[in-house]
Amino acid sequence: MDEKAHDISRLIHESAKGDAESSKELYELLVDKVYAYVGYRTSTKEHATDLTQDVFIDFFGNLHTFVYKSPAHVYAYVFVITKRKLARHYADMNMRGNVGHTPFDEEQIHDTSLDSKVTYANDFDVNHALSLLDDATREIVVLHHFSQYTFGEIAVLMNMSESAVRVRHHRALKLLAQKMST
Amino acid sequence: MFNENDIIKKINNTRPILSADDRIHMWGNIETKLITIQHKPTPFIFNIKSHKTMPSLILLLIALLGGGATVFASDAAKPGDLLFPVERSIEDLQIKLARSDESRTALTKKFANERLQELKEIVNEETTVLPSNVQSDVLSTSTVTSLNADSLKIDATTYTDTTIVKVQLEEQKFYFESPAQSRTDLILAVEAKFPTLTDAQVDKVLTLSSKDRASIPQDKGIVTLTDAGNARVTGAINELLKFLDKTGSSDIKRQEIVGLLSGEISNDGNLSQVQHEGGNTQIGDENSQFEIKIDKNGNSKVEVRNGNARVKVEDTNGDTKVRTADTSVSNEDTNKLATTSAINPLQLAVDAKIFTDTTVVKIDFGGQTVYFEAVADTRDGIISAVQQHFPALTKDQIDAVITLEVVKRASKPEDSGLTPTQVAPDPTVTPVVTPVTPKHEDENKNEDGSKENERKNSENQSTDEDRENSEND
Repeated sequence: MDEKAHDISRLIHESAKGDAESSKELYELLVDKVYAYVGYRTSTKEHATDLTQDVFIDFFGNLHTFVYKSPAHVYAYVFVITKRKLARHYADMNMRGNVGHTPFDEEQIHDTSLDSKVTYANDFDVNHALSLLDDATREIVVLHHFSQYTFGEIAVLMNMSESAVRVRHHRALKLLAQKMST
Repeated sequence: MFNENDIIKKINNTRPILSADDRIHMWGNIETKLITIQHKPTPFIFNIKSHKTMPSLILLLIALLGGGATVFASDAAKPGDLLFPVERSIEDLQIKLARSDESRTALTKKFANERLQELKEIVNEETTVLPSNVQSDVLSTSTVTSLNADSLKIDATTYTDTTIVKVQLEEQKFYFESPAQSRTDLILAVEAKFPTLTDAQVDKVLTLSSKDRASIPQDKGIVTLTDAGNARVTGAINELLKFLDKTGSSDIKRQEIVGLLSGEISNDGNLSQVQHEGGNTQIGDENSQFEIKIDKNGNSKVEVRNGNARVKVEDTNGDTKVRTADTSVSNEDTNKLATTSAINPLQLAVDAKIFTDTTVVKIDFGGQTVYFEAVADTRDGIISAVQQHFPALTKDQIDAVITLEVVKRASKPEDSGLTPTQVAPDPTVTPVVTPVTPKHEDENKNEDGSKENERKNSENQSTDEDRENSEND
């Protein structure tokens, strides 16, 4: 087992036993990845931080049932929790009658309301460009560039082969370059 | 004009970032809500969620439920058969249960070979011989109005029971039988079928041969694939690629190439062109999406192409080899220059390194250097690959300057010129035609031998950092 995998394995094990220090280390390891993805998928910073917080509360709360296999499986586990939280968030938003928010099915990863998100500078072109991609390809681009997962990790998250992930990413960049040049 | 690096920068610049304050504040909230969980031991005798025990249980279950016959029958299944998915699942399980990397590699090779054998069986099952297609009413004017005398070929083979005449006019082939055995009688027989041909025309191109055996159906007609055969062969090719995609090497670039081809192969309608000569069968050619060659000894080769991606799977005397190539040329500007008709061989140098997984070709001319990969691992094959990129060069020109080196390891990114050794094209250089002096024979390297000079010793050692960088963007 390499050093990174050994660390994560130890952190999971200790954290599940209730060790606060290990939990914090695990949080530091994962929070940027989760926040970047949630931040892209939500319309305000407040929503992003609230949801990220909820993800970690669920994650740590259920850690004792988690069977560690590899770092990528840990990311996949967190990713599943994240998508469920987002699905519930959008369901709640719809119930409150918020205009512009469409239901987010955790299996259906595209949310059209994201096209109107204006939180970060200079991002409108990028958001529009990303909306040109199909759902799975957009997810790969976001996971790689925002959450900074490697292609191997994304392959586990999305249950695809690593070569398929790389191919889609490569094609996405070509398409985006082409579209944004016209 | 955006390129991919611009896109990456733009995307990265819009990445949501968690501030330090928010990070601390969030952790505080989480910590106050965390409940210390006491892990309870599982009530089960053994942990059935273990990925190591599950496959064994599946196999045990199959055996207990009398699935042995199914397992046995599925081993003979081919792509498209009902039990083929069962065979695939069992192979996947065997690979997963392999105890070491060596046994996993051996199994992967074995199953890749099985895919090839299945493809061969399908080709044999689905090729059929069309009977003689020469009919008297076809002969008249329509067949030969566009006759190009230079394209006319006539071969007559005398067997113990009959003589079979093959007439080829451009792309059209005709077969017919005749009792004639002498040259004179055969010329008359051809003219009887093709009245517009003259004695002189037939006599000029007629070749005679004889075989001391009775004729067989394949001698008498055109070998072709059935319509169903087209679909089965395409399906078998896709199964082979799917298998390689799932179980291939740890080299990400190689896997990316297989991934680009997997699922992209379709029946392009040209598969009916089967060449069957002297016991050798060939489907497709260098211009088709895939090419299958099966020789009379049972050795087979499948090459698949789409865009710049190439995969070649070869079985020679039971040894299976998989080679991949990205045939795009490394320097785009030079590529434009090189592929124009104005290319002139200016101090041309061609070096090809044949690795276990691909061949890397480096071409220097006029201070410019390009690299590309090829699946070919023979001198002729590599020369053809060079010609495809540089059609202005002749086979003799390339043959005179090419050097080959066999390197007994897998290729690395730096072998394909991904280090700053390329020289940017100089637009002020005016190409001058310089006669290329053929090198002496002993300066050329044998295909099956490695170099004996210091180049063999200058093999680059990649660092761990280089390997890690090659896996990331």
